[in-house]
Amino acid sequence: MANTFIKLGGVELTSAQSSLNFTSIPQTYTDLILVCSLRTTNSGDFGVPILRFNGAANNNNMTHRGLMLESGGVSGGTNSEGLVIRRCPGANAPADYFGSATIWISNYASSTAHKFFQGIFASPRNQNTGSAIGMNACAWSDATAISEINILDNNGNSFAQYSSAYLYGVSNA
Amino acid sequence: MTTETKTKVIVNCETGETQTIPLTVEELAQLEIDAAEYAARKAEQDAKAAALAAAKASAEAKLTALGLTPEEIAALR
Repeated sequence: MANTFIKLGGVELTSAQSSLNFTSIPQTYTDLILVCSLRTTNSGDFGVPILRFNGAANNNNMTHRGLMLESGGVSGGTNSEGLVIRRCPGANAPADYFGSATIWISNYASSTAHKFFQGIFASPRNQNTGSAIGMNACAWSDATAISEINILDNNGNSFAQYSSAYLYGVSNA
Repeated sequence: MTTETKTKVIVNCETGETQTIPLTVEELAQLEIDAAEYAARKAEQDAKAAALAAAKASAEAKLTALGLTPEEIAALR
């Protein structure tokens, strides 16, 4: 059980931003926990947040598998993306609606092992009819230590004002 | 006409400093690529979902023609 849970950084957006990024992440913890509250400027019904690491320009070496319950029922999913959050409200949702997600990134500082991260998320309004909840497991097939986390919307939209993200370091020592 | 400047926010975990900086030309181009790829995948998924819904509706119509009640059809789902 973790005996250290330290906030490494956090931000609440004062204006829309294309991405939220944590850089210079200390390499001294066992795992990382990322806690987000997100909404996108997508004119459609929802945004599709993803994670990338170390400033990667694309989704190369990323895979995910997950389950989601939304208005259409339960769906599975697998694809070549770091799609750990998968849904958050878009511009069609009421102004004060934000989706929440908690993501656990294991063994992030290793320079020899591929990285695995998993998360749970809830989006209070999705596809104009109801909420979405789900859980996803992702892999980054890269042994490089994670020193930077990038949160983006997979369909190229921005995160809306008041979206927030906080990063915590967890140690089991 | 003004052009929106897209920016990103960076939180430096070492210093605690938060910066907001404009996207580079390469980052803007990647956003376009991401959006196009997502749109293509979504169109493919939507088409699959529509085909599945049509197949279900067709199957239900055939079951109805065979004499099954809506409750019996629902029980098969």
